[in-house]
Formats: sequence, C-alpha cells, structure tokens
Amino acid sequence: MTPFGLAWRLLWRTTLVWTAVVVVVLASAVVAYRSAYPTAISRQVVVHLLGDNRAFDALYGRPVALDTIGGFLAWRYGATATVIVALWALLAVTRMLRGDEDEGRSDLLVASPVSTRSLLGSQLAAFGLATLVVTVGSASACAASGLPVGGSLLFGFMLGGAGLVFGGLAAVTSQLLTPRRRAAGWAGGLLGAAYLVRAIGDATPARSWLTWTTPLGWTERISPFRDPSWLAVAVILAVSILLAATALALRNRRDTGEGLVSAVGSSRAPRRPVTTPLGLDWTLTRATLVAWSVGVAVTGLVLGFLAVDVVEFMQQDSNLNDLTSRIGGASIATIDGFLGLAFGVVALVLAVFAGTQIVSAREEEGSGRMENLLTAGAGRVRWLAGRALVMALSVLVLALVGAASTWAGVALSGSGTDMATMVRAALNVVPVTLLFGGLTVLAFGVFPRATAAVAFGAVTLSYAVQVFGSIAGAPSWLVEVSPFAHVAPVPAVAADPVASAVMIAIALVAAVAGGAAFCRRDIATE
Amino acid sequence: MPEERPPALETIDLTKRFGAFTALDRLSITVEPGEVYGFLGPNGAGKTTTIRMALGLARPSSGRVQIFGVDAWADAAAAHRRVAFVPGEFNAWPKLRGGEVLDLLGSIHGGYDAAFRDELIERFEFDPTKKGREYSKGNRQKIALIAAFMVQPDLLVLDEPTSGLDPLMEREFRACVGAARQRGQTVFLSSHILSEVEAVCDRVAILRQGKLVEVGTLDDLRKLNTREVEVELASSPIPDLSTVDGVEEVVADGRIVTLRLRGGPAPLLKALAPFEVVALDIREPSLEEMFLTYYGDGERGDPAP
Repeated sequence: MTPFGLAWRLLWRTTLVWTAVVVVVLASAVVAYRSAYPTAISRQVVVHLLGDNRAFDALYGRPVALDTIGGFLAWRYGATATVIVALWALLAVTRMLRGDEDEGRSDLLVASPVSTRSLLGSQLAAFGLATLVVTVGSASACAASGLPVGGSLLFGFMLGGAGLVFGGLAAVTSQLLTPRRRAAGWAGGLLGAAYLVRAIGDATPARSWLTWTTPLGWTERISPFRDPSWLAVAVILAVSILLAATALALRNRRDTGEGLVSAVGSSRAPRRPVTTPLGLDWTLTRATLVAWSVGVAVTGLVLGFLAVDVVEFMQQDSNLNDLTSRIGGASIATIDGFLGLAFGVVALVLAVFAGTQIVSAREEEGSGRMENLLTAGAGRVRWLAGRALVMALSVLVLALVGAASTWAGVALSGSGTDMATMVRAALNVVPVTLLFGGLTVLAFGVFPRATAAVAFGAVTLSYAVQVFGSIAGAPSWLVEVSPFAHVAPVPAVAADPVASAVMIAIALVAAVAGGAAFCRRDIATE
Repeated sequence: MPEERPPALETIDLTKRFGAFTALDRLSITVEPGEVYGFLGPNGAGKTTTIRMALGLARPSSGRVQIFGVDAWADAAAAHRRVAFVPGEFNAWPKLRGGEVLDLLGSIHGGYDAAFRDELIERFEFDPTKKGREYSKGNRQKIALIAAFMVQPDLLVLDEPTSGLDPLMEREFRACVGAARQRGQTVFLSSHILSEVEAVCDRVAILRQGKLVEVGTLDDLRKLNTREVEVELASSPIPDLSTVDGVEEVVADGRIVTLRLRGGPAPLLKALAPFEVVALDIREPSLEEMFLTYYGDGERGDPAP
C-alpha cells in the first residue's frame, strides 16, 4: 500500500459520514424554505425583513439573493455547514498528521525510504481528495434539489474550501504543536476567532472589510448563487496551497514526534499530591473544564446579547417565527422564548462535553494507563464511578457558567432577565446531558472500541433529527426519538419534571448497565 | 502436619479463547510462596494473556487463576492488595510527574515506605521531577519498577520488565529481585532475556502455542534435554549404539560416532565398555540451545519424554 493509500484509508470513512451529515442538513433546508416561503411575494418579504438585521448578519453572514432557494440556503446554512466542515477538517488532519505520531505509529513509515516530506505530501493530497468528496457531495445535494449546477458547485466549494483552509491550518499547527489535542485545540481556536471576526465584520457595515481578513469571510463572499466572487475562490485556493507549502517546509525542521514549539516551561513547583483515582480524574479534567467553560461562556454571552435584536426581528416576520418555534416548541418572539431556544444550544454543547469525558476514560483504558491503577488495587467500579461523577459535576459547573454568561449577555444588550430564571433554564438541560453521558457509559461497557462513535454519533444524530426534522415537518414520532425533543424550552415554558426524571432514570440505568458490562469484560487495549 | 499455605499464584486448567483462536489451553502451574518463577515462551505463546488473567484484566474462558488462594477475576481488588505489576511497556500520564505517579500508585496500593522509595529512586538513577511525556522508554519503565518494588508486595508479577533498560539498570533490577527473594517475596517473571532468567529464577515454565511444554528447575531442564556426545574408538568396526537406552541420532563417520543422549550416561557407558574408547566428549546444552529446542517446531524431537 502506498502512503497515499494509507492516508486515504484513514480518511474516507469520516469524510463520508460528515458529508452525509451536511447533505442531510442541506436537503432539509431546501424543504424548509419551500414550505415556509412558497410564493414569490412571501420571498420578497423575506428579503425585505432579513436584509436588515444585524443579529442575523452576525450569526449567518450578509445575505445575498434571499428570494431564491440557493441564496437562502447559502445564507442560512452556508455559515453553519462551513463551520461543520472546518471542524471535520481540523479533526481529521490533526488525527492523521499528529495523532499517529503521538502514538508512535508513524515511526515505521518515517524510517522507510519514503522521505518525511513526500509522506506529508501524500497525506495532504489524500486530504485534498477528501475535501473534493465534500465539495462534490454537497454540490450534488444542491443540484438534486433543483438548484443551478454552477451555483451548486460553487456552494460545494464554499464548504470544501473551508475544509481546505482549516485542514491546511491544522497541518501547520500539527508541525508546531504536540500532542494532537493541542494542535487541534489551536486550530479550533483559530476557527472560533475566524467566526467572531466575520460576525463583527458582517454586523457592522463600517467594518465590512474585516470579512476579507478571515477564511469564513472568504467562503461567505463566494456568494455562489448570485454574482459569485472568483477572487474569493482564488484566495481560498492560494491560501490553502500556501498553508500546505508551509507545513511541508516546517516538516523537515522538526523531529518526528515533536513539535517546533516544544512543551517546555512546565513548572517544577510542588503541588498537592494526587493519591486517589478520583483525584487523578480531577487533575486530568481540570484544564479541559476550564477550556470548555470559556467556550460555554462565550456562547452564552453571544446568545444573550443577540436576544433583543432577534426578538425584535421575529415580531416582524411571522413566517420565520413560525418555522423556528417548531424547533423549540415555543414562540421565540419573546426574550424568554429565544432564551429557551438558546439553552437548547447549550444542551448540545454540554452533551458533547459529557461524551468527551467518557471517551477520555476510554482513552485511559486503550493506552494501558488505567491498568496501572487497576493492578495497583483500584477497583473497576470505583474507577468508572469516579469518572462518571467528575463528568456529572463538570456538566453542572458548565451549566451554571452558561446561566451566568447568558444573564450577563442579556444585561449587556441593555435588556434584563433575572439570574434565578437563567439558573433554572440551565439546570433544565442537565438531565438530557446526563442521558447522553449515561448512554456513552453503556457503549463504553459493551462496545469499548465504539465509545467515541456512539458518544458523538448519538448526540449529532439526535440534534439533527430534532432540529431539521421539526423544521422539515417530519412525523412527530421520528422527532420524538430524539432526547432533545423532550427538553422543555425553559424559560419560555415551565420545566417538565416528568421528562427530566425519566431522562435521569434512563441515564442511571444505562450507566449502571454499562458499569456492569465493564466489570464483566476484558480490559481492551488499542 | 505440613502448614497449609496457598500458592502465591496458581492457574487451574486456565484457558482463554478469542473467537475460534485458543490463546491459552488448559494451563496449570503453581508458583510457591518465596520462589522466583520464570515464565518463558516464544512470541504469541500466551504469556501476556496468562498474566492479564492473573491480574483480573481479562476473564478466563474456562479454568481459573488464584492469587494466594483468592480468585483473580471474581475478587480482583482483594488479590491486587498483595500484588504489584510491571508491564512490558509502562504508559505514563503525560501531565503527571514521575514522582506524582509513584505517589499515586503507592497510595492506591495502600501506602509505602518513603525511605525505601528514595533508595530505589537513587538505585535506578531516576529523575522524578519530569512529566510523563518527557521520559524515555527506559525511564518510563523505571517508574513501573520503582512503583512495584517500593510497596514490597507479597507477589511481583513482571512482564518483560527490563525492556529498554541499559545493562547497569538491568544489574540493579537483578539485585532488587534478589533482595525481594531475601525478604520472602514471590516473583513471577516473564522474560525473553535468558541470562536474566538463569541469573534470578529458581524454576521456569515454558509455554508454546498456548500450552505448557515443560516446568522445572534449570537443572531439571538440563537433565531432560539431550546432550551432545562424541565418541572416538581405537578401531572399527564400530558397535551399533542406536539401540542403547536414551541414545538418538547416531551418526558414524569412520571411527568417530556422534549422538544425542537423553538422561544419564550410564547405559551408554555400559554399551561402550567392551570397546577401546580413545576419546569421549559430553557437551551440556547451552541454555540458548535448550530453549531454541523448546521454542522451535520440535524438529529435533520433543525434549519432554
């Protein structure tokens, strides 16, 4: 097998899965648009209303050609889909370039007659092929929905291009940083910064030049369905090539397994001793919890800050209001209504976090580090219970951070809501989060090697089913399969204690069953 | 009445299957308290599988393992209180310093003697202030060795514990095993380094393709093995020695006969008594030759009777 073939083997599966997710999103968006704005007149109204709202400009970008399905699609879902593809790109590239090196798997390849540079070249080429699959896949979805082929291809490139640029960035951070977590974290941070800069540029006309400084601005400016910008396409291609060349140039300046920026500077100062498995869990989780807290705080601040603007707009457009209220089950034309929807986003973030915690427990097992504890005398039950406990407490902390930051965001925008309400709203999303945590524990116990797939697959699918299913008017039994559909949009409506109790009960049963299965199976190393 | 002391480690018809593949087939061995027991076999023979079951990390498909009479699977935590384990490749937490890992593992085990830990740190020339990811393979291995020896467990389970260690550290390791034996600790050592096994082990068991092929002291094994014998006679014709008890593979070349001898030399000497023997050379097999015979596919005849 050639290095290219090996790299492609590592990539093709996630490429297909993520492309499929994007295709589902796009297809449901087209259905949604046709059902919400069936006539030319209603579409003119949309243009009029959506054309002038800073909050939406910040969230989705400056709209172009909203009176066409393509324009609406590119505007409403383009920003989300580009971020999804960018995330896939940086995860896939850091896994391929850095993950293998962290595990020492690449040493044999590096030691072969293939030069390190041509090895990296093959890997980047395989990734280029993967972005082509994303481009063609999403373009086909658009074209199949009846959109013009040229525009569809450009729209596909909008997504594939985001993959190219952020994959390239991740290729560079993979040369600079080690381990994979840090390389992916920095690339992810740059993605977040790109999103913020684009949002500011789009929301403030005086600073619209800012959008040209960020990759997400370039993809937005492609404007696939009316007056496309070939300059944006050229910039994306040029920057991607430049990033790939940079990564190639940096490759031979560093040792295999190391980054150019070494991990020195760790202090030698004594700290409190770690003497129990639980203490170890906390030590390992601490830094992650801080990083996620920052992320949740920014999300809460932004959503809280936008509340007033969005509500003002919704009061003018009953069609869109109708559409979005189907997601949460309550009208978002009030601040409480919008906040109910916002905490749905917080629920998603927390559910992903809960999954990562159990996935990292699986990594402890796979790497053999857990065995060190078990053979020293730590019991399996206590070890797993400790991980689950730290996960649950961390979720609680993140929920409270979400409450406080949303409250602060609303207050900053000049409006007001009280803290107690925000805390209730935040606690209301904890049960669904724990439900996904419990399911992940079950997967960990029964199919340890599929822990990550179950953790992230279940959350993503459930969220997609609930959001896009309800927009597209899918049958209610299908939507209600999703646990997210059973989260009451507090504070818009009162909490549903029965649903919460059921979710916590399922979480506990799943966790106990997972724990029991874990105690009966062999320890599975990678 | 002899004292009823349970064996330090006992496997009873221990079997492990992965799907259709049988990794370990009805292994029954007994490690007595206080002995240093070598566990040998080629790659894939089932050594690590055995150890993982002895540590309660994997569940026997049938049969069982007991640590001082306690079932290793059903009552793993209780068994672990008397055991310390050194894996062939110790994976450290990247964020924790070496000293912190020692503290953590020692505390979980139920405490340790800090002075003895410091002595071991000095012996192995280990720097406990670095973080996990900064250690080389050999230095990571030292963490595991120090963590295991410092809690002075009743049973040390060592799975190729010296991989990555330099010869000086290898020597320190042997000294530590010797000291452990002096204190009455039991050592179960799986290793490929035959000189190491020869230096420290009282008894060895040899495993091949999931089955036990031999167990005994090194002297026992030598006796069971064939010795190479060369006989030079003063004149032909030479006698037919192939019918003599314990003699195999007789090759005659003029007045010189070479053969392999199993067991004691008495029958051969009796058979040679009527003849005029000019020279007689009996060569003991080296350990390496012996193990190669056991490890290999048995072309030269199965050494066990």
